[in-house]
Amino acid sequence: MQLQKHLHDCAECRESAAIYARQTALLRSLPVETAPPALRAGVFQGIQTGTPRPALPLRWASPLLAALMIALAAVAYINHFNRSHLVRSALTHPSLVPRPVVEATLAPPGTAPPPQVAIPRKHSSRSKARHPNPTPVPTVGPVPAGNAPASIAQALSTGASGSTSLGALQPAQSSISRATAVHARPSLTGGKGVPHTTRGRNTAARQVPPTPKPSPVPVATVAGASTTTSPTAAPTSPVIVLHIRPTPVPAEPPPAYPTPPPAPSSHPTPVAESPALRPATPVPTPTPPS
Amino acid sequence: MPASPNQIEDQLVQLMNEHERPVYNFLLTLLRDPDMALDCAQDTFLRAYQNLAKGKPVNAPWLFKVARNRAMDEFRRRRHMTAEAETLEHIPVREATDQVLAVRSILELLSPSDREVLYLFDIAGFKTDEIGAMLGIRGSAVRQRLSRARERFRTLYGTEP
Repeated sequence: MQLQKHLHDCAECRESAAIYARQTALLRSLPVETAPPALRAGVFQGIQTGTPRPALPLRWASPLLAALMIALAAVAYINHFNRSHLVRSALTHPSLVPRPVVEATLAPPGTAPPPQVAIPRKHSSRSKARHPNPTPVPTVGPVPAGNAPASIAQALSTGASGSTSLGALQPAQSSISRATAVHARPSLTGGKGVPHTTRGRNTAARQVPPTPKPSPVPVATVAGASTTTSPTAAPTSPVIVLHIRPTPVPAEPPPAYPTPPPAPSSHPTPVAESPALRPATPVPTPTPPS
Repeated sequence: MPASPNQIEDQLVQLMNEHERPVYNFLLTLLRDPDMALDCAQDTFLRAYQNLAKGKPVNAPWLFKVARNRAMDEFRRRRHMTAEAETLEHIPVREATDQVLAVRSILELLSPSDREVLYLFDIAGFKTDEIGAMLGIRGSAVRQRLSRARERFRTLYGTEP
C-alpha cells in the first residue's frame, strides 16, 4: 500500500517502476525451451546404473592434492630424520666418543680408595626407550697400590673375553661400531669388565669374528710409574696390555766441588743410588724452646 | 520410515514434471550452452533423487540452488575452453523475433551474476529473500544486485524499455 501510494505521488519512481515492468515483460517474453528428452532419460539411466555423484570439482582436487603432497613430504622427512638420528646416535655412542685420559694413581697400601667418579652417559629419548636400564658405566678411580696388579690382571682376562659381547650388539650400532663395540670397559677397581653392549637383537652380528686388535699401547706402568688408559686404544682393543718397565734412575750428578780421594773401604760405594734408599728430605734440627 | 525406491522415483518424476523446464532454461540462460545445461540439469536431478532417498525434502529453491552451483562449477571448469561465439550458435531459436534476439543479445552481454538474478526474479518469480537463500547472500544484497542488473540491462537495451 505504501509503495502504491508513493508511486501515485512520485512521478520519477512511477516511471522507474514502469521501466522495470517492461523489462520483466521482455524477459518473460523469451521463449521457454523445452527440456530435451535426453535429460529425463539420462537421469533415470543414472539412477538405474547407480551412477555416482558428479565428478569431484577441481576446486576440491587441488586442496586434496596439496594435502597429499604435504603428507608425503612429512613422511619423507620423518624417515630421513629417523635415519639420520640413528646414525647420529650410533656415532655419538659413548663407545665411540673419546674419553679423557684417566690416570690411576697408586695409593699407599692400606688406605681406603677415594669415592669413585662415574662418567655420565647421555641417552636420547629413543635410546632411553631402547635402554630402559642402561648398563652402568664402569667407574675408574684411583687404585690402591696393593690391588692394582690384581685388578689389571682381571681386566686383562675380561678384555680377552670381550669378544663374546659381539653378539649383543644393538642393531643400530652393529654397522658402525661392530669393530669397536667389542670394547669391554674393565673397571680398574672392580675389574668386572662388563661390556656396555650386552643386549642386542642382531643375530647376524654374532657371527662376526672379532676384529684384529691393533698394536697395544702402553697402558700401565708399575714400579713408580702411573697407570694410564688410552682413549684411542681402548675402544678398538679389548685387551689392555700391561707393559712393565722400570723407572730409569738418574745417575748421581758429579759434585761441583773437588772431592777428596776416597778412603779405602771394604764396601765399595754404589755408583747410582736408588731414590728409595736415599732420604727424601733432610731432617731438620729441632730448636730448643726459648 | 524410508520410502521405497518406487516412491522415490514417483517423487522425482513429479519434481521433474514441475521444475524440469525452468531449471533447464535457467541453466541455459546462465551457461548459454545446451549441452552443458543438459549435463548440469541431469546432475541436479540425480542429486535430488539422492536427497529424496535420504528422506530429505526437495523443493524448487533447492533445485535452483543446486543447479546454480553446478553451473558455477562448469563456469570454473570451462572458463577458458568455450568460446562465447560458438555457444551462441547452439542456442535453439524458435520464432525468434527482433525483440527476442535483442533481449538475448543483451543477456549475453550481462554477467552471469546479473543474468541469474534477473532470471530468478523476473522469469522464475522468486522473491529476493528466496534468491538470497539460494545464492547465500542477504535479501538486501539481492535487491541491490537486481537493481544494478536492471540498470545495466536498461543501458544496453536503450531507453526504449
